[in-house]
Amino acid sequence: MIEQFLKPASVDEAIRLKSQYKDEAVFMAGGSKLNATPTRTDKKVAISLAGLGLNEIKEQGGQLHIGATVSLQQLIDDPRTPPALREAAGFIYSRNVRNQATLGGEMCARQEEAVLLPVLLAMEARVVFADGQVSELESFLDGVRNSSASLVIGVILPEPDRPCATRKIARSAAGLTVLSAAVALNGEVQRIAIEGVVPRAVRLREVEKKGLAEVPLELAVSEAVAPRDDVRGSVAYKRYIAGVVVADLLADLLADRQQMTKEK
Amino acid sequence: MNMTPIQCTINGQAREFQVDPRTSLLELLRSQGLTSVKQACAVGECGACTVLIDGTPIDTCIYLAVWANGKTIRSAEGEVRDGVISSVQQAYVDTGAVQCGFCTPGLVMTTTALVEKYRGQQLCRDTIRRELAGNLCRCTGYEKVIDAVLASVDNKPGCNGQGGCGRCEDE
Repeated sequence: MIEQFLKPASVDEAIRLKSQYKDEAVFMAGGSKLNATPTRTDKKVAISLAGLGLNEIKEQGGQLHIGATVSLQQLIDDPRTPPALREAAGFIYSRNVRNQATLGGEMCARQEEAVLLPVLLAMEARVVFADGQVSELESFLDGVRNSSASLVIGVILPEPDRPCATRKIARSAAGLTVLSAAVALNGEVQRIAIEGVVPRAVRLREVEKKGLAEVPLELAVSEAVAPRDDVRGSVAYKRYIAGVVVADLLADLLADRQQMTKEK
Repeated sequence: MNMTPIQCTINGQAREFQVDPRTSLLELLRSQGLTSVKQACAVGECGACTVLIDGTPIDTCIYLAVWANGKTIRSAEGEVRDGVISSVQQAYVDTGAVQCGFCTPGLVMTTTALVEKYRGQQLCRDTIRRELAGNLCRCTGYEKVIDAVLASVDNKPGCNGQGGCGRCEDE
């Protein structure tokens, strides 16, 4: 239960406050999760990230730098956002929530549904920390650096123009997510990421290495995931749909590439 | 508990409060008699608590009152000017977009933002559906709501038919 709301004016001050209050404090940006009833924070001190200037999107040396407090709607509205990331932001169906929820929050919340992560993983996003260190998103998700101690200030997409496609499966736009997946092409090399049918969002590296397509890819993905039987669907259904979605995404990317080659 | 002073503008009136940091804007507004702001899901899913904060639709159930410092807040109550409901509110009445009415204030505020954003532009039903995603209604099936938005656009947004708002081309 929040008893103090602190508004630091700089990243350094935010870090200092976090060191001072330690586990009693939580960094807070849009609050779409920390203020929502089922996931409401039990921390006593909220450290606001609103005044830290982390809400900008910049192109630097061909890379896209996205601030941690950029809202999901801001991502959608910015023409520099890669189309697949824009689409993934739209998977969070509520525009009102998208006005509040931030990219950093989506990464740090470690929620069961993490529909933005497959695109970020397939695009090999890097996480930037307040101390200047940069880590692969996958390492961050592995918990190598904990976001409760070290402040995430942004994300770097090293190749924002990399072809990438994403899809979410749910019974309705507002329904529980069965899975979301993304496929990107780095030249001929596949990047495949998925969430919902695995304990946390992951790259399917073993599948990527095989360079498969169509039915063999469907089968390989179906075997690689580890879904649970729940209200969203049976294990058999989830394995099946995971394979189909990934194979379809790859087919879409290859078709787009073929079309572009023809047009050239 | 550390009470925090905030200053904001609510429906055109400058207001000052001392707020508990854990108070949501929803709780603050309702405590001020603005009961058009409905408490429903409390997780930011349904949009029944939507108000405009600096023109942007926000779910007040997940928005802390302390964040309202320096902001301009508009709720459905403030859309009534001199006893005359706004063109958006009138469009909801005219098209039959109101059934039980619980979601209507939130929908009216999101529609108001949408109409102001797309002023002078043609809107298709798909765009309206996308823009209203986040405001759930269990009664209408949404078709009448979309009709209301289209009617709002046709009615020159912001004009209450009485003149004086300065938005009409012929004023």
